[in-house]
Amino acid sequence: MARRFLAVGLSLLVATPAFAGVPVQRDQLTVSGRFEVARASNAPLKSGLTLSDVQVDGGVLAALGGKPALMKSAVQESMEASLRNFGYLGDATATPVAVLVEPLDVKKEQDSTTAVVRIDFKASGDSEAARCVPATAEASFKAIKPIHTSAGNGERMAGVVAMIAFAAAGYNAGQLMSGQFASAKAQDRAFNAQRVVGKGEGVALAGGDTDLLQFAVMHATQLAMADFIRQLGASPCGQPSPATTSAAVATPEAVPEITPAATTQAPAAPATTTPAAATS
Amino acid sequence: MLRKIAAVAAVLMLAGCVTAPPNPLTPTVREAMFVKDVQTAWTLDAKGNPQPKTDEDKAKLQENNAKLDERLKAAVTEAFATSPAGAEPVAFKINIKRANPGFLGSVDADVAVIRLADGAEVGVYKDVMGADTSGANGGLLGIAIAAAMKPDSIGIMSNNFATTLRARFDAKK
Repeated sequence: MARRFLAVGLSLLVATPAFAGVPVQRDQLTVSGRFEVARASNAPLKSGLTLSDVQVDGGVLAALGGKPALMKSAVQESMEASLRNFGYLGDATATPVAVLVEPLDVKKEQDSTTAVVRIDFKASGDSEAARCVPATAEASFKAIKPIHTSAGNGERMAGVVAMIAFAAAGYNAGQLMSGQFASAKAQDRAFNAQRVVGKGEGVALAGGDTDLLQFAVMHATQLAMADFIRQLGASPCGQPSPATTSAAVATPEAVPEITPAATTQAPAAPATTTPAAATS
Repeated sequence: MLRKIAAVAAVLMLAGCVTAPPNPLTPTVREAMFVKDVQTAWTLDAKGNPQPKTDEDKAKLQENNAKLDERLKAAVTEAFATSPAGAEPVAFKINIKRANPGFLGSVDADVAVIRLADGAEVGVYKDVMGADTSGANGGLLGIAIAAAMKPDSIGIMSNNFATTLRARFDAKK
């Protein structure tokens, strides 16, 4: 009898990691080549920026699912990797940019959670690149609850039945059960991936409140960073110099004038800026 | 069935004693890429693959191979969906050499990493294996019970293949 209890216990232990939520990884936040945003084409933005200080709201870090210090590193590293991917990251001599990820705006509905992530950027110094850095980037992402398919449910059921049958025979069926659950998850994901969703929406991998929030915040953070890179690419500084593209437009009138109104310079800090205690 | 059990036992033994081959890609190359596409190619070796004798068996094998093809692509796509997250698009070309889709089945393939910008092959992960070892840790009785449960063997071996490939890809050396 003791052997059977031990087998059931071992089965549960082995199967547990299949259900546990995992913290977000750096690559899941990084803006990779999958995003169709413009690469830095020339100075001053090409290899012209470096991140000097990254502050992330505590609520955002908590939503990402890991220890705050680890999540903060993941956010910072992902931002550096994103800038590197599109040619904006420079060395220590580049224009330093301070980053503040503001508190979340979250909207929960019956089968979805929407997160809005807003990131403030403040470039130091008086360089041309500093004047081209957008002040804010923002993105919204709606995480939709996944549907469990009947095929997946069947596999989960077979896994549970197998575990009980094995335990009765004195064997540990954790491997078979976790294999069945992984297979069921793959079936569900394949089905959910085919569901038609709108722009800025996606079907989450799991349906718990925490899972939906994590999925929404992860994607909204990534999309906000993509928005920042898109704005850098659209900035007059990011465009090829008229003198090098066409002699016909190389006139003083055609050179875009950089003024505070024409660019998205950082406004004075709003009253709602994250309190220092909420960031880490 | 005995042949399959022997094959699974061999897979389990090999998994325990064979040192993984070195990673063909350096960390720098891996971090610079993202997987844009996953393709399959079937060049089955004459040895080690099922040789169906009847038309019914042939049709069943074709059906299972098609299912395996679909599930392998889905599992590998999923395993590399968000990572690596670089700027260089690559394709994974899974060249399937041996496939026994079904209960206690296994698949063996070489996975070539193709740079899409110029079509160059930047590295190959040789002999990546995926297996359904359902119940094997319970001996013959375990296998018999697992067989009665009719597990999704093709799905399990595809996920196992993707997990193995991911581990080989992430290996530091």
